[in-house]
Amino acid sequence: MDDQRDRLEADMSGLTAPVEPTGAWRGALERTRAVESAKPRKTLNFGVMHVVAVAAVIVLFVGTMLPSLGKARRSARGITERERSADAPDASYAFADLDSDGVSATSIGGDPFDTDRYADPRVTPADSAVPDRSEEAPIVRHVVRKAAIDLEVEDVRAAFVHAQALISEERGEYVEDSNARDRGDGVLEADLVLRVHAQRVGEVLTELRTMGVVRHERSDADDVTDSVVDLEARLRTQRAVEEELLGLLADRPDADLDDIVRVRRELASVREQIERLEGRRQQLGQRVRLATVAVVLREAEADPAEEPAEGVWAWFKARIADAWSGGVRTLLGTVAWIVEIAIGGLIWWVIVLIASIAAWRAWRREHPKGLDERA
Amino acid sequence: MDRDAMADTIRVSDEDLLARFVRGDDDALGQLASRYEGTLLGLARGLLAGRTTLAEEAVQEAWVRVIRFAPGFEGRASFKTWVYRVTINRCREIARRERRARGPRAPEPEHRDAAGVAELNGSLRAAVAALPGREREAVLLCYHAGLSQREAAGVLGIAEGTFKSRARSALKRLRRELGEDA
Repeated sequence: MDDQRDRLEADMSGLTAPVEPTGAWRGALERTRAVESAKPRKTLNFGVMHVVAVAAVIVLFVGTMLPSLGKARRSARGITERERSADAPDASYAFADLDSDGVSATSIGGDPFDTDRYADPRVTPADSAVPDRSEEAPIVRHVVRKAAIDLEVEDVRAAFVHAQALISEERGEYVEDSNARDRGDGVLEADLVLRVHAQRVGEVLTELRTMGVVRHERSDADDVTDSVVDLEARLRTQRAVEEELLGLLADRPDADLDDIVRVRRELASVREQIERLEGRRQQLGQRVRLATVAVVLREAEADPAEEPAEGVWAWFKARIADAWSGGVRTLLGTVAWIVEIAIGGLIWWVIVLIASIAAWRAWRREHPKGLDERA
Repeated sequence: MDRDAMADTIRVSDEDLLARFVRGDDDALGQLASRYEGTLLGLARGLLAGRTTLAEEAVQEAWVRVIRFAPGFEGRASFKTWVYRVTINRCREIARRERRARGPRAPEPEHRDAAGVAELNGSLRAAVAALPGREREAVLLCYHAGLSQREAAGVLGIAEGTFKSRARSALKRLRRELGEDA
């Protein structure tokens, strides 16, 4: 046993016994010198470096500015549209159909809307019936009243119902048109056209104003007195002709049959004219008696972003503020995403971690860490 | 080497020789090589299953590294410890490369000396090669003439007790292996 131990230990010493040096150090020195002499000098190519740096800055700048510019453009467009909608007459007021009715001149006699004096306090004296101080009969003004109001309300549905309830059916008032719709971005919008008694326009508008914030209001008056006078004159004329023809028939019962037929034909034509004129008078009377109130209801929107003040510095500050808030939102979004991924895939992360540790330990067994060579 | 030069070699420390080499004295590196190259070659030969060519390659690579990093030598460990560590690491790299080239299941090539004659202690080398890596290094360093056990433990970066334990364990395996063969 002892012999075996001695032999084994002696053999072990023999396995790593020093051998005659081969001058490996000299080969190593020559190799190192050759490598050093062949190595190109470390000189930075500033031209290329500059180009790369400038390109990187440009890409970074464009990358950050383009989305911001797009947002600013969208924001500016939004402001312009809001201004336009606030300043310009709104097409939804639907006045066009009312104006296109065109009233032709015909005489009107004893029409029922003579009593429709304009009672709205906002009506100018010229619009109302103004008693003439002279001996002549007072001229009654016939005015078609139109009003439009654009309201921003908290609850469009409630306001929509409330506005419809403002009409008084006992007085012949009615809702001419109503429309409620989703604008597409979850914001409700409604418009309706109320026909209310001309004397109640002020009252209805006052009630509407209490429903929300008035964004725009407009009232208009169309004096159709001339048309009414003309219509009545034509009616009077046609009726006089009718009476004259009836008189002819009554006075000349023995006239020729042809004459009688011709007079009756003329009489029929005159009566047709009278009916047509009376129809127009009635239509015009309706327009004068019932004013048109167009109502637009919108949901209150969030306060628009503060418009940038004039000047480059103010614009720059606004851009920085936008960039900051956008960056913070992105950062928080990223954190939220990471938390979501971390928690949602927890079981998988544990499995992957265990597998990675096992793989690393197996690899490390095959590739032991080198000894510390720090000199 | 004349008498004065030999005296100088004995008198000057490894670190001073390295410093001289860094200052441009290539002979200083030659003196360091004369102190260590033979023992390093022997150790590398043992670690690389007796393959002399690979051992020479490992030692030359170790010298390349010493030359390259000599200017940064701060004396955290002695030069001797450092050069042994560098050599062992190169041996590990070469052994890994050879294993990859040969394939994981391929047998170790027959151990032959420079003259191409199969070594008598081929069975011992085979038994050593079959040891786990840590134990193989420990037992080879333990019986390596160039290092004391304390120095060998320092080279491997482990406690001396751990080193001895590994060496004993390796020796036990070898005895068992060689006893069965016998």
